[in-house]
Amino acid sequence: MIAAFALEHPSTATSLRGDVMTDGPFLEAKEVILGFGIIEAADLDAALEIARTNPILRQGGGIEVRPVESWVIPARAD
Amino acid sequence: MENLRRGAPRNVVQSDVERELAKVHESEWAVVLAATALIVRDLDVAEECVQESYATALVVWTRDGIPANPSAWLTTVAKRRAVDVLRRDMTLRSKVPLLVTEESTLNDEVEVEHRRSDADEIGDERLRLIFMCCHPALSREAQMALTLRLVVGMSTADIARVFVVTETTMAARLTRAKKKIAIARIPFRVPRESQLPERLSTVLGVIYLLFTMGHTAQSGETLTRPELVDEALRMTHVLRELMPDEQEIRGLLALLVVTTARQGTRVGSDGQPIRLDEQDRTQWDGQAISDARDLIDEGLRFGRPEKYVLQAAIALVHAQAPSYEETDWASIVRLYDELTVAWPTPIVALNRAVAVSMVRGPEFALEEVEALDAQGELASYHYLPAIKADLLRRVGRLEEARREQRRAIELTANESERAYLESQLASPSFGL
Repeated sequence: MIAAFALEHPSTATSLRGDVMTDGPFLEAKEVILGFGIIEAADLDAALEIARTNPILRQGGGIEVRPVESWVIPARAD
Repeated sequence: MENLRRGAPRNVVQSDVERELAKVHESEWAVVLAATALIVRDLDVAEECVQESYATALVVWTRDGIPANPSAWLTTVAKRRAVDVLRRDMTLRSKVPLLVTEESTLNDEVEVEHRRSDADEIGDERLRLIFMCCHPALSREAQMALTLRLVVGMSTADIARVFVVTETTMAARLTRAKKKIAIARIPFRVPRESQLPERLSTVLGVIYLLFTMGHTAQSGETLTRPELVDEALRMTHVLRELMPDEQEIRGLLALLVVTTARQGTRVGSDGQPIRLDEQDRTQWDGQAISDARDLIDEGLRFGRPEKYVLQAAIALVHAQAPSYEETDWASIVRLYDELTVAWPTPIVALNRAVAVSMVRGPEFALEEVEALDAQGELASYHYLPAIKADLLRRVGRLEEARREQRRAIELTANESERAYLESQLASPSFGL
């Protein structure tokens, strides 16, 4: 294993699409996750500011920001 | 002298203390809570400390008299209590997520005393509270409930009544919202300049919704909830005082003031709504109308007017008309045209259609309302079939008018409005 991340409950999620911010996760039936990133930010506003720079928001995509509850990055044998 | 109770040497009557406490609760709850939350950085604990300070005040003030500065007294007691809690629960608290206050708080190991001095530098802490409760990462429902609980200090039971849910449901909703604030790290501070316009819009949107809920309750037995109207007005006054240059705040204040000028004439002694054309215009509050006019004049003077000042201007045309028939409908349509640009929503289009019917006739307006109906966005909005029924009635298509009126009755959840629509349907104007 390279790394594992436990996320907080989906009710703590915040979603961006275009210029619109909404509460909660963004899952519609046919939405797919294209990728993910781990960022460090002082608070939600700072996190959203980073998320807003993602070009997917100008290509019709959305971003869901979720707090990480805990994580493991095991030491590698090599 | 025998009715002077023991322990009340300064002759403080308990009812005086209660009255003073109610007054301070109204004006200072948010200030005391925000100051306490800044220290304790946990909303539940802060609420508890503030509630305790009010309980302590009731006892101490009755015994020793009302202090010169009640708000400062309450804040000191609540803060002292908060510091106690902090010292006691230091270890426990290292495991719960704390409120994020300033930008540098990635590091949580700040001394209590240090935090205290930080807190004193901030102008008005109510603003932090308002912006946190109305953060766009919270649902609209959560924003409204939190604002009523934390900014207004309304009890969970009363908030539950406003939203027509059980107290348990409302308590759970508030807990969830507070949990999201802590876990998702929604900051407890006024947003930076660059985020301010967007965030302020959300805040004003929440106040506007609370006001409209108070002006015409969506459900329940009475048409209005005056306490919500008062709170919305109070919050807007506070915002205006703290941020005097914001156009939207001025516009919203104008809208609330001009709308409340008619407050006393909108409901009859039987609790039923009275239509604008039947209201007693001599009872409208002239001072409120003139205050609103000043704000509106100021708001329309520069740049492109925003949506609140335009709605206020429309309401002002009504408020200044000597009678319904003599209303300057052409000006109203012009203002609605501008509003359609500033705020393109089907509800604005529907209201514009009513004004159009007064200028160009009901046939013309009916076409516009039918187009809106066909779009389906207002399918559950009872004013649409009610307005359609009125227009159909005015062009003599009574059969269809009755059908639309019945549709409106089915859609409304407010008892007072339903009774009104039913009495209208039974009147000769509907051909029955």
